[in-house]
Amino acid sequence: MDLSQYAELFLAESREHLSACNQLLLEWERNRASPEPVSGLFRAVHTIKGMAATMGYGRVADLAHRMENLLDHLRRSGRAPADEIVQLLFRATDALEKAVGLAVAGRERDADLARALPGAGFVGASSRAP
Amino acid sequence: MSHTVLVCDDAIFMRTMITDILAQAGFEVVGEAETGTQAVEKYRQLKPDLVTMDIVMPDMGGIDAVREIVKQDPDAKILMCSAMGQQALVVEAIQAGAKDFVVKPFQPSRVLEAVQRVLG
Repeated sequence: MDLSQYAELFLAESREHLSACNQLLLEWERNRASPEPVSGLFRAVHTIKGMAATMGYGRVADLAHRMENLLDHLRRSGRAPADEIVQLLFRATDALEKAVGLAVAGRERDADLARALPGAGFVGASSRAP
Repeated sequence: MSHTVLVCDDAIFMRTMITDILAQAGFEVVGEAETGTQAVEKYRQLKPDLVTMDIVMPDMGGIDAVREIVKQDPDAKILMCSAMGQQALVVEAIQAGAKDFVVKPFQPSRVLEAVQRVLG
């Protein structure tokens, strides 16, 4: 199956979800007690993960998966997130956006993901994320 | 006559890919849904031979949509489309009445094998 025919669709839809992530993070920053932003963030990142894995963009899928684990942990805890967590998610969203662009341009290896979500493997260590 | 299919997934990307895989194999995709609620409504309207159902969708998730569809039509043939690591949710979906599942990322041959199993 020639996956390249789906690259533009992947890029457009990922960008839509990433833009939604930034909006949701702003909303969450303003209203930390609200449960809606984290659910929306989880769905958006989960969708990007599935699409990236399908395209064979392993590093994008891996970062999205780590974000998803962290969000799943936060969603289940039901607690208001600390400032550092929201900032971490803003940075991770930014890194994911760059990685998506690089992957579609055939330069996924150039994406610097190691520092995109430090400690998230520990914070969201559960692998229960769907 | 070719089998009719309703494709349910919140990502246009995934719906397009599944539709292409099925259309190339001779199936007729008669409708698409991007939420669980839409899936239930479109099933009622279209009565397709087969439904492909994503698990994580806004509004109503895929598992609840399976429950609602099976309530309408106990013979509904629903194939779950899951991501890796969703085993527990797949089991829940099967208990809710889904017939089989495929795991993302999709390989066309796996999708078509699963579809054939579900259609019996």
